[in-house]
Amino acid sequence: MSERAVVINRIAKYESRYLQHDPQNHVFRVHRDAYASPEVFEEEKQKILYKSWIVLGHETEIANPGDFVTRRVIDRELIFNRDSSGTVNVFFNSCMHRGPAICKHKEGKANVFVCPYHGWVYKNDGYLASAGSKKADAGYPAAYLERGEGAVRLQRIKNVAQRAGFYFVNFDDNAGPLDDYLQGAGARLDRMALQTTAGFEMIAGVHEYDISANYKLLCENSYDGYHLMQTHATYLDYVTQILKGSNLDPKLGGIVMTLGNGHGAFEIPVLSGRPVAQWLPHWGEEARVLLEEKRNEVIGRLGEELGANVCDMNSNMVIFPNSVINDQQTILARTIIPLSHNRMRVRAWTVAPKDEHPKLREIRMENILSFLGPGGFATPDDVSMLEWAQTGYETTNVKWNDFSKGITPEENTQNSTAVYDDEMQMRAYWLQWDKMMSRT
Amino acid sequence: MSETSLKHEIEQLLYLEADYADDWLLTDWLGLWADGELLYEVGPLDTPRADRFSHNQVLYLLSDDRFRLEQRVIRMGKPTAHAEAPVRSQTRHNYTHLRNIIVAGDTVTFKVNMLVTRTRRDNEGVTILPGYVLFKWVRQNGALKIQEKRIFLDLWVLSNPGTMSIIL
Repeated sequence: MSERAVVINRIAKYESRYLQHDPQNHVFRVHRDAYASPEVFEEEKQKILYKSWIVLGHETEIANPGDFVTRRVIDRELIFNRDSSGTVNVFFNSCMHRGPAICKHKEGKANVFVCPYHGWVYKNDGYLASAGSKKADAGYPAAYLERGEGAVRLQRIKNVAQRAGFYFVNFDDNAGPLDDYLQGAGARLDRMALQTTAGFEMIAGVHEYDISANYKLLCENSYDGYHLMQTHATYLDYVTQILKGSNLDPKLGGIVMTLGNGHGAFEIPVLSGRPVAQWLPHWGEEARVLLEEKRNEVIGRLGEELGANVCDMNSNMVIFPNSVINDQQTILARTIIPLSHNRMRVRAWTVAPKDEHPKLREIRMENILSFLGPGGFATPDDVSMLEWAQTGYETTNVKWNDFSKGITPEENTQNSTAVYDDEMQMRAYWLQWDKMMSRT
Repeated sequence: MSETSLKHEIEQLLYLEADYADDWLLTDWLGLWADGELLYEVGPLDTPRADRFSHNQVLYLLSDDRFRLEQRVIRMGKPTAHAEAPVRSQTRHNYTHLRNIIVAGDTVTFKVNMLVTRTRRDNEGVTILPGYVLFKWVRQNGALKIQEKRIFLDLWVLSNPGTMSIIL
């Protein structure tokens, strides 16, 4: 690594294994090994993925005592539950005796979890209640079944926290608090919560699909304003069709912002209407009245400026390193499971205001499917781009990806904004990534 | 009409529909659909007995009314529909186990198993998409036309490729 000051108040040129950061010459490049090397992937698991706060789920999934879901985060299988006393837990889904998953259900309500192998029974707070029978219990120290020091308990992840209803885990026992980690991303989550005073509920069903590409490619794609015009030409044609007969004439525009610690977002005008709260003619008169009411409620509560921002602006956010929370046709979380250096599994789920009118819910559901998800008019084209990019890394000798768009010698990537099709938010991501990878 | 001849008529239309989809003759495929409102959808994955729930209750993979289906066909015909351009998936639709045929006035509903294979030049192997379809057809001017096609796949995850950019 070499570092040298060039001009006072200007950012010094910096090079590492993975970065060429040369603001004076308007250059920012990332080495393609960061996407295409199995060794780098193993290293980043240890240095980044196991040391970061990662979205696990939403509070509404475990609203009541006993509620649980099983879920994979990175490559760890977890049980996320609310126990009978109301405490939220995240356990590794593995029997403390010989290892099988103690819960094979995707979700449900349970007072106990029973291992299918030898019948060890765990209460929903993780403590062992029985080794299968009284006779079997007698074969173990009494302390195993008591709540003292010698107790057997499902291994619990220490660092679990929530912000605006989104639950995060961090596999590093020494991690700092979630709110410190999130920096400006926390306020963006809070902003989404302003859509309603009634709280949110999770909509049943998940879009789960694989992409043959490195997980960071989907992060980049999720808040990349630059690709919209080209990749999504057919979707923009569709938008033109749905806006026919309205006086709406939204233009691609807006800003990207960096939020600290590698997090970032773009904020661009809603192009396709949404239930909070922008009407489109083909939704009809009933919806127009309901959306006007919703809009008035939001603006009355938040004031003209913030209210209009909440109603009219899409905000796609990447919480470093692999959580994507999009606030667009709906609030959509994409939790990304990196399966290997060149393959990811996307788990996309959505929350909506609890008090949403059925007609507006209908609009939300329609609107989600027209754009988002593997059957939408946009996501499949993104998937192709990501897979073709990955192929490019693996089948050519070209070494560097370019992220120089809009870079200036004075650029501060910590907490600033730029035009919507700039790449500053990605530079912030990669600087954070490189910083963590450079630790020994 | 006897049950045998109705079954034969349904089979002939199913085969034609499959051929149009597999040959990417999307305008012809759209021409098999009835006038007026329609429903073309692929239900949620990993949801037991998903056909009990509507697309307003559960996150479907896709759910098109007439407008969106027409737009889908227009979109898929463009060279900028990158997921299927320049090289399209080669699909092969297979329908079997035609059953539960119910005639009510001008409409016919039935269930049929479906196995679609999908081959892509940029993907190794062949992807198999198993499932069933709940069809609703309606007789308009003497001919059976598709009014609803609700597809439910036996998949947990969409993979290789993880997109539904073909006509299923």
